[in-house]
Amino acid sequence: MAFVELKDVYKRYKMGEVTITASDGVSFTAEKGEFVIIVGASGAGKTTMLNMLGGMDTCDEGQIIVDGQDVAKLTSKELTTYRRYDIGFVFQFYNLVQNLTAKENVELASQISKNALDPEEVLKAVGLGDRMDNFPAQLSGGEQQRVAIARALAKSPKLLLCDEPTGALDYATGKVILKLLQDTCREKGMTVIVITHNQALTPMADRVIKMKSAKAYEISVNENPVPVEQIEW
Amino acid sequence: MKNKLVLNTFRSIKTTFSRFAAIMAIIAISCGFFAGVKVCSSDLLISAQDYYEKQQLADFRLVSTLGFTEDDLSEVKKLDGVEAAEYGYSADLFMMLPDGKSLTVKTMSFDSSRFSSGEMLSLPYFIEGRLPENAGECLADASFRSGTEINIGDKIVLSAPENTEFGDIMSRSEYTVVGRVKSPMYISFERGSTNIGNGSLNGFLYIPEENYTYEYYTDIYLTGKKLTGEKFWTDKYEEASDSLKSELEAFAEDRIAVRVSEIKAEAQPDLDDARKKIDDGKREYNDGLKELENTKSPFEALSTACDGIDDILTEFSDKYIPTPSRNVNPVLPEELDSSMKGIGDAFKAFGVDAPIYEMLLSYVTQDPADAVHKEAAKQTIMAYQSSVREQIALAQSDITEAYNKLSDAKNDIDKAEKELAEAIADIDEMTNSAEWYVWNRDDAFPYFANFETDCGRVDAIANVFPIFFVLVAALVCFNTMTRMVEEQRTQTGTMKALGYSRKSIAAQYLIYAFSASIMGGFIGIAICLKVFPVIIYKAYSSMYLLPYLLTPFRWDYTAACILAAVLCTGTASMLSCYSELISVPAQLMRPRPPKEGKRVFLEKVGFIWKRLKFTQKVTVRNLSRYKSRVLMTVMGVAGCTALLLAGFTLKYSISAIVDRQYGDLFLYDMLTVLDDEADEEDRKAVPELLENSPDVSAYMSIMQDTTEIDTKEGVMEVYYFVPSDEKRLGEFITLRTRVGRDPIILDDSGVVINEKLSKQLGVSVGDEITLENASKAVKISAITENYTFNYIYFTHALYKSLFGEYNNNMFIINTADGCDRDRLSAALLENDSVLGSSFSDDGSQKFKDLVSSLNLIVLAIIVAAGALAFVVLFNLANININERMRELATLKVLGFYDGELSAYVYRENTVSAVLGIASGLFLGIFLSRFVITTAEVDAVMFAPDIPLYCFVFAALLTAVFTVFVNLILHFRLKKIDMAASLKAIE
Repeated sequence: MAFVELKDVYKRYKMGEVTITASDGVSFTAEKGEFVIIVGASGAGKTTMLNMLGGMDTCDEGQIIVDGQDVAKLTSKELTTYRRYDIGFVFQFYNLVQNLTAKENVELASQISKNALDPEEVLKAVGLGDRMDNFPAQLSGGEQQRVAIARALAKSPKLLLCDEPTGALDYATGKVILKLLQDTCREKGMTVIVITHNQALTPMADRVIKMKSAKAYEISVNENPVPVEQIEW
Repeated sequence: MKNKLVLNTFRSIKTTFSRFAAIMAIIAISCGFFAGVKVCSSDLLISAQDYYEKQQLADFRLVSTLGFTEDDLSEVKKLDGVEAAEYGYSADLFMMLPDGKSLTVKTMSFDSSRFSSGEMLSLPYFIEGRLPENAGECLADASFRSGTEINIGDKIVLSAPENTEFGDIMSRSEYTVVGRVKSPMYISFERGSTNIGNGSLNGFLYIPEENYTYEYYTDIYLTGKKLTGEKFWTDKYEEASDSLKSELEAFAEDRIAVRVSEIKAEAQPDLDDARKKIDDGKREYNDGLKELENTKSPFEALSTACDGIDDILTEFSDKYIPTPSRNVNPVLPEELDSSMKGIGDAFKAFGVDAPIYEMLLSYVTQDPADAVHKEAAKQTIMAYQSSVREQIALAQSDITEAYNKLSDAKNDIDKAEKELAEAIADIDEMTNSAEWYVWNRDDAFPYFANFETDCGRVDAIANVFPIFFVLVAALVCFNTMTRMVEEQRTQTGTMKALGYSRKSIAAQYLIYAFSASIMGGFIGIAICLKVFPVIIYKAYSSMYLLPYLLTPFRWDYTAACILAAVLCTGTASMLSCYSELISVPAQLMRPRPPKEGKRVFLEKVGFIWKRLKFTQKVTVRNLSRYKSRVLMTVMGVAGCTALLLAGFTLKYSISAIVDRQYGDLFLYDMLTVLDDEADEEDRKAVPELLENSPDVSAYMSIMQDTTEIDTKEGVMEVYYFVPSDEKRLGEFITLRTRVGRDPIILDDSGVVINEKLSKQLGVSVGDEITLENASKAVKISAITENYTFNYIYFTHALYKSLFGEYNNNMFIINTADGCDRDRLSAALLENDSVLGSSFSDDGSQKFKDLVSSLNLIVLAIIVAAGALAFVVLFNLANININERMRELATLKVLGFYDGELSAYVYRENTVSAVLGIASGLFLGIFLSRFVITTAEVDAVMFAPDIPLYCFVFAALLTAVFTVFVNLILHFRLKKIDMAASLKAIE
C-alpha cells in the first residue's frame, strides 16, 4: 500500500449561492521517501489538496490515507495531533513568528513534538548555524525560508508539505531552497510534497502530479529525477 | 448611494461590525457613565425645584413674638419684593396615638378652600386620602420620624405641655386623620426642633384653621417676586433672597414700632380703667373706715359707763354716803358725782329713758343696813346695765364684721395694684423684646440646605470617574482605529492610486469613527440618564423625601459628551491614519514590512531569563512588543478593579455602621423620654417601675439635649449626652478610640466628642472648644468612635459647671433576655411623665434600609466596572487576534492544540490582567477614600477602613471578568481558518 493515497477526494466551498468545487475527485498516491511535485496553474486546486493532505482543511468526500491512517475521518483534535506529529509545513511567505529569533522559531515547533530534533542541529543543517539568534526581520527571504524549513524538519515529520516554497524568492535563492528540500528527501528518506506552478521543476521530482480544474489529470513517475542544479528555467 | 467612498465606509461598518461595536460600546459606557452620574445631582435638584414650585414652597417664613395682625399681613403683601403672602397658625403639641404612644408634632393651620384655590403657600403633597371636610378632620405627616405609621382613619388626641392652656391654642383636641401628606417644607426626615418634650419634633399635622383660638396669626409665609421660578441652588436665588431678607428685616423694625405703640395704646384704657377702679376702691375703703370709727365711739363710751356702774356698785355695796336730812341732797364727793352724771348722760344719750343718775344716787346713798332697798336699787341698775351691755355686744359684732369686710376690700385693692404693676411690666417687656424672625428657606425648613449639599456629593464623585473612562476610551479607539487603518492599507493605496484625495480617505475613517461615537454616545447616554438618577434617588430616599424624580433628556450633556467622544475618536483615527495619508500609493501597495522582533531588557538579566520557560520568554517578548495594548488592558482592568473596590468598600463602610454602632458602641436597647414639665411624683415612679420590671436588666437616667453647632461644613446637629453616673456608662455605651480600640474614660477633666464632629470642627484631643451658652471653654479629653449622629459626652459635674442647670430627661435601658417589648413600653407609657420609648433596633433598621438601597449603587458600580473590563479586554483580544492571525494560524499549523493556543495568548492577557488588578487595588484605595468621604452625609460617619475581603472580592471579580473574556476568546481562536490566514500576505 502506498504511503500517501488520495481516493476520490472532493472539496466544495459554498460562496453564497455559488458552489465552487476545489477538489473534484482527486486521486493519487505517493510512496515513502518520494519527492513529489504537484504542478498546475493558479486556481487548479493544488493548495486545497495540500491543505487537506496536511490536516489544515477537511474534505467533503473520499479518503486521504497517510501511513495507513485515513486523515479524512479525523476529528478536529485528532487533526491537530496529526499536524503536530506527522506533518511539516513550508509556506510561500515563511510565516515565521516575527517576535522570535530563528532558533526560537524552530523551538516553537520542537517543543511540542515527540521526536523533535535539536533545533540548533537542524539550523546548522540548513546552513544557518551562525544566524540562529537573529530575528526574522534581520534575515533575507531565503534565510527566512530556510528557518521555516528547519522549523518543519525539527519535528521530524512523516510528510513535508511545501506550498510554493520558492514563490517569493529570486531564482538563485529558490534553487538553493529546492536543493535543500531535495537533499532532505534524499538524505533523510523524508517524503516531500511540493506545490508549484512552475512546470520546469518537474524533472527533479520522483513523481509529478499535474492538476487542472480541480482534477489531477496526469500522474507520472519519473524514473530518473535530476538534481535541481541541473535544471534551468 | 452616490459617493462610493461613503458606501464603502458603510459597508465596512457592516463587515467589521465587531470593531464598530467595540468603539460604540466603549463610547457608550464612558459617555453614559459620565452623563448618568453627572446628571444625578442636577436631576435631584430639578425634581426638588419642580416639587417646590408646584407646591408653592414659601421663600420666607416670618414669626413674631407678638404674633401678626391683619394689618401686618396686608402691609407685608404691599412690599415691593413680595409676590404673595399668607398667614398661618402653628403650635408644637403632644399627639397621642390610639396605642397610647405620645409624640411631639408641629400642628399647622389648613384651610381646604385656600388649598384648593392655590392661595395657600407650601401646599402639602397628598400621598393618599382626601381634604378635611369638617373641623374634626386633619392631615397627617406621611413619614413620622420615629418610625410610627399613622393611617387614614386613626383618631389622635392633641394636648399642650404642662404650663400651657390648651384652650388658648385650640378649641378642639380630637381629630380623625383623613389624609397622609408630604410637605415641601420637610425635604428630609428631620422635623426640626421644639421646646417641648425631648426637643425634637416627630412630625407635623395640618389642622383645620377654625380650630385655632389664637388672637393673632402665628406665622406669615411669603414668596418673593424675584425668587419665584428661580432655581433655589443658584447664586441668583441666594442674592435675591438675601436682599429680600434685608428688606423684610427693615420692614420688621417699622412694624414692631407700630405694633408696640398699638399694643400700648390698646392697653392704656384698660390700664387707666384699672387705675381708676383701684383709686375708687381706696377712697371707699377710707370712707368706710372713718364711718366705722364714728359708729364705734358711742359704744365705747357706753361700755365705759357700764364699767363705771360696776365700779360704783362694787364700791358702795357695803358702804353709803349718808344723807344729812330729808330733801337735802347728800354731799357727794366731786369725783363720784361727775362720774355718775357721766354714766347717766351716756345712758341718756344712748336713749335709755331711765334716770340712771338718780338710781345710782339712790344706791350710793342707801344704807346697806336696809339690805332690801339697797339690793333692789342694785338690781334695777344692773338690769339696765345688762340690757345696754347686750346691745353693745350686738353692735360690736356688726362693727367687727364691717372691719373684716374693709380689710378684705383692702387686700383686693392691693392685689389689683400688684396686678396692674405686673401688667404694665409685662407690656413693657413684651414691647421691649418684640421681634420678628425673618427666616429664609435655609433657616425655616429643616435640611433644606443639606439637600443641596448632599446632591453636590454625587456630583463630586461624577467628576473622578470620567478620567478613567476617557483615558480608556481614547486608548481603545486609538488601538482599534490603528488596526483598521493597517488592515485597509492596500485599499488606501489603491484609492490614492485612483486619485482620491487625502481628505476623502481621511473622511472614511472619520465617518466610521464618528458614526460609532455618535451612536454609542446616544445609546449610552439615553440609557444612563434614566438609570443612574433613579439609583441615586432610591439610595437618597432613605434620607430625603422627594416624592418624585424627573429625568429629562439632557441635550446639553449629550451634545458635550458626544462632542468629546467625537474629538477623542477623531483624533485617534487621524493619528493612526496620518502616516498612511502621507505615504505614496506605491509604498502602500507593498505589504508593510513586519514589525521587527526585539530583545527585551529582561534578556540581559541572564539569571532570570535563563530560568524562564520558552513559552514564558515568548510572553515577555510579546508584552513588550505590544506595549500600548498592554497599557490599555492594564488601565481598563485597573479601572475595573478600582471601581469594584470602591463599590465594595462603600457598601462595607455603610453596612459596618449598623453592626458597630448598634452592636459594639450603643449597647443599650431602649431609650425612654420623659416630659420635663411632668409631675415630680410621676417622674419618680419611672425608676421604680424600671427597677421592678422583669423586662429590664439595667437602666440609668441621663440628660440628652439637642443643639446646633456651626462647623466648617455648615450647621451640624449635635446631642449633648450627660449620664447621671459616668462610672456605669460602660454598661450602656462603649467609648473607645476607633484605631486601637482603647477604652475611653469619661471624667470631669473634659468632654468626649465623636470622630466626625472632631473632623468637622477641626479639633483634636487637648484642644478647647467653646460651646454656646457655656460659661467657659472646655477641653476635649478624648475622641470616640461613633458612626451615627454627633455626640458630646459630659460628666454631670462638668455639665453643671458649664451650663448650670442639669435635668435628667431620659432613661437608657438594657432589656433583659426574653423581654416583652410591648409590655415594657406600654407599662412605661401608662406613666404620665413618659413621652415615649424607642428601641435601638428601630434605629438600626433605618440604617439597614439605607444599606440595602446602597446595594443598588454597588450593583451599578459592579455592572459599570464589568462592562468596562469586558469592553476593554474583549476589544483588545479582538485586535490581538486579528493582528496576530498569521502567527496564531502558524501555531495551529504547527500542531498547537486549541488549549495550547489559547494558553499562548492567555499568558499575555493574564500578565496584563494581574498587573491591572494590582494597580487597580492600589488606585482603588484612593478612589474608595474619595468616594466614601464625599458620599458621607452630616449625621453619619462611614467606616473609613477597607477590610481585606473588599480587596479579595474586587480582585476576584475582576479575575472572573477576565476569565469570561478569555473564554469567549477561546472560541474565536478555535475558529481561526489556517488555510485562509496563511495563503496570502496581509
